[in-house]
Amino acid sequence: MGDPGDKAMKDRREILAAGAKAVTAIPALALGMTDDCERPARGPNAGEIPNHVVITHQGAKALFYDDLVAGRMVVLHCMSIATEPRYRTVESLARVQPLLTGRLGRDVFFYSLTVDPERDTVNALRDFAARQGAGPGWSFLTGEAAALLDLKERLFSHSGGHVHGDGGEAEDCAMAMLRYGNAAVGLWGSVPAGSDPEWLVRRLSWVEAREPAAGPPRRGGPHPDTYLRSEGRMS
Amino acid sequence: MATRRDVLKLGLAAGGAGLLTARRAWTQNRELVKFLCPPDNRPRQINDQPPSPKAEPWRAKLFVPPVMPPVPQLVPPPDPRAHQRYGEFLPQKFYEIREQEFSWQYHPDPPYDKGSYSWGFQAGNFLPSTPGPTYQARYGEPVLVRRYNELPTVGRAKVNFGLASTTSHLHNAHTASESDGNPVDWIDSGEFWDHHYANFPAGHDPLQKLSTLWYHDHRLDFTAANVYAGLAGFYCLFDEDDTGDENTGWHLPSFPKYDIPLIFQDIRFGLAADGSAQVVFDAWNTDGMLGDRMTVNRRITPRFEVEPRKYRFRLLDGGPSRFYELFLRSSRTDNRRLQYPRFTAITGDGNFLPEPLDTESIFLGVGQRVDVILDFSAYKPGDHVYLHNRLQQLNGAGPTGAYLDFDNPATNLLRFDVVPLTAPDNSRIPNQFRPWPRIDLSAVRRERVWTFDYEGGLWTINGHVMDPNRVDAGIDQGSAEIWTFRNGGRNWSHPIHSHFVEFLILAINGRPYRESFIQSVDAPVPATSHKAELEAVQGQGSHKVELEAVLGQGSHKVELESVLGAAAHTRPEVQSFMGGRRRDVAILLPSDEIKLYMRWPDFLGKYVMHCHNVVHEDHAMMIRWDIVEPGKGFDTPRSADAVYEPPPESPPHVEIRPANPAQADGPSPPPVPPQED
Repeated sequence: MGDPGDKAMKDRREILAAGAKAVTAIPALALGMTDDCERPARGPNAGEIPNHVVITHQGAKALFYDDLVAGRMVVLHCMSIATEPRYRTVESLARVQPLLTGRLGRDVFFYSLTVDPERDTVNALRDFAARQGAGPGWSFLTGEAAALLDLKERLFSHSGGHVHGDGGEAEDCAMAMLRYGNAAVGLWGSVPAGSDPEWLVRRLSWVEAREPAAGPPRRGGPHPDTYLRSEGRMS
Repeated sequence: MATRRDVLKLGLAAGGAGLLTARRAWTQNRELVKFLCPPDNRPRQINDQPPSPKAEPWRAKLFVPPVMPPVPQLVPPPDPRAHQRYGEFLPQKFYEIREQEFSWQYHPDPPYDKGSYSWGFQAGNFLPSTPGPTYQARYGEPVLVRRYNELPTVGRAKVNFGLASTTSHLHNAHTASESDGNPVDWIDSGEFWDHHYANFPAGHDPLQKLSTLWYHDHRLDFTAANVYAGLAGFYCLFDEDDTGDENTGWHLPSFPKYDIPLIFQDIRFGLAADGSAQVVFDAWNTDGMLGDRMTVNRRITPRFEVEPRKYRFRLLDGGPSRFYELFLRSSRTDNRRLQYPRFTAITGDGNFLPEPLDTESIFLGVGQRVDVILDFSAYKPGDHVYLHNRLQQLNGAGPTGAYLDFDNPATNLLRFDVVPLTAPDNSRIPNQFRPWPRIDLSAVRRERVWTFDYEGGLWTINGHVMDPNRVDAGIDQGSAEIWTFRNGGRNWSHPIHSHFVEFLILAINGRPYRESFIQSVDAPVPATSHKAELEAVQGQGSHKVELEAVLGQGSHKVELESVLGAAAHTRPEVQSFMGGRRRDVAILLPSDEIKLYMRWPDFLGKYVMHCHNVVHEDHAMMIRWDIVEPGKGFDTPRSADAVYEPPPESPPHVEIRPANPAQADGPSPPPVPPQED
């Protein structure tokens, strides 16, 4: 302890706390911060997931990796209030939410990152979240446009230049996809947002840390009635 | 001391009380720029990341996977009720294979010498390896493979990007659904799955026989990660012609000494805190992943000692996303034919070609295989022959169509070091193998069109993404169909794979693929434009080397007598071989359309068709199709619940697995019935 990095981190914490408690943020330069950026140091995805400052729909500032993602099971996706009728990813998560009662907000978190931070302000997102019935553990994130853009491009990256056969530019943004993962482990998967809500919950169980299997190996399959089904029990 | 989470909690609690006007919120947002981490010089995409640690080419020795040893019996015995047509195809051999995590040395020099955590397979007394042991299977000899998942559980595995929950697909075996390795038929750590491989050709038609298959993980959402971690191996299927013995049958080079499987995988490594090189996976890119260290059987640019004789190499593009075009060049600058030797291609994907052909290059999409004969008999001990991949690819979406120069180190794959002959070469290259299976248009019940496109960050098929409970095609058992694969994009490519049977190509981009056609490309030239070059690669008039024309006019009489000291023989010759007419992977280059014929006899149940760029597959470019009773097929997608009754076909593990054994004991294993006599 005691090196300048620790100092900066401590400062940042105070800033966050201060920024969250009172709406008057202390200018960073006044605290002696420079533009050197401290990368998150903990967790397997520390070097990969940007640690940008974001603001939740409840008006709280947070460091995206350190405060929201690290050590947790999370679902991430891009959205905007304007494009929700087209992609309906928030609607999908709203269907998943009741299946995670007791987990969401405890060790599972949803983060809906706006791709339109100028229009999707804290107030707009707060109203939107209320209309969608978003409960504890589900945060809509806005903030500086550059921060949100960088998050999107890091977490939903592609090589660009997708052109359909008719010459039209394909929608490159990852608006129809959810990333789900366990940041404590560094294990991440992707799933179409429109998937069955129960399958979305199952996916979280896949990435959950678990104890080694105990006892002798268990038969996992195939199912013992396969031969019956193979005789064609069709409706 | 407040933890960060406390800070956040506090923030959330307090933030709700702070009512900001939009204007004030925006003002506050603008101040965040001061907290915004500036660019950290870490590129957004893995393809642009800092290079892997340096690895001197030709230092590592090629790893040749051991031959899979059988076991006398399985305890507990297999459950006959769990398999279709078990009694008809009683297993004659049993195998136990174990999925494990281990440290694998990709290269002998630092930092690779410390080993890199990988996943792979273990059997018998062999150490676990990637690729796993090679099966030596035979038509007419059904086998039962018991696959144990012994991977460390989530949170304990060193390979943290893979999911320790696996299903193993035998690509492209003619196998009952429950043994196929369907993406939802997974087992978790501590469990086993029985795969019944009946080893008979589709419809008992000898012309449908296959040769080079491979097994690889196919876990829903995690295929790319799990295969990249190392879960892959070969399954070689022999018969009375292709015996594996160069003194019998077709006299092809003997397995396993002179018949070597080669899987190409491009891997990226990062330097870990302990100074070791560890495999790096990119979970964030949806186009695909490219590695910068080319591995052959999971050794970086290795060398392999060969005698001056014929060898059979089974070439496989193991992905995750890279296309290959393989070329040969040797150290023998005194003779052009010896300096740039040809491949003699004998198979395309799983099947033998009607006759072997000589080719300057071999084009492979992910999942594709081509078996080749390389004849080193004209080379002297001390000579080197190099295998290169000259196809340029800059991102996961597909090749650019440009070719790299032989001298570009990025093209290096494998060096053959010629050593003295130890025994006579009794192998031969036959003039003919077996004809293509017959196309029976009277058996065609349906035609379907599948368009492969992109929307909202997802790779789509007819606008759909993978849903294990939606059946996109109900296929009448025993019927044939004509499918059209259409690439909906102008600048991405897809190697499209359908399980269960191989197909026969009818037409590419509207041009009929006649019996006499050999899929080929024109002479490689530096790309002038991507489009032009891609057209040259895939066709648009360049699948046009007609065998008859080749034999009649342009055929080079390969003077093996003068060059190689063997009897003179004429083989058709092409510039580039793309896998022939019969395939299990169709290469859709930009804007391509491929029409094909397929037939589905023998079994019922669920299967999949998907892009074999496994990153595309995991971003949902996959559909489920089912073989159903004759007369019950259908065209429009249906819920599986509407197709099966009761119960809907459900994989054993659709229930949420307990995260902690303390939470639940889980279902008890089914009772073990007596083994059939």
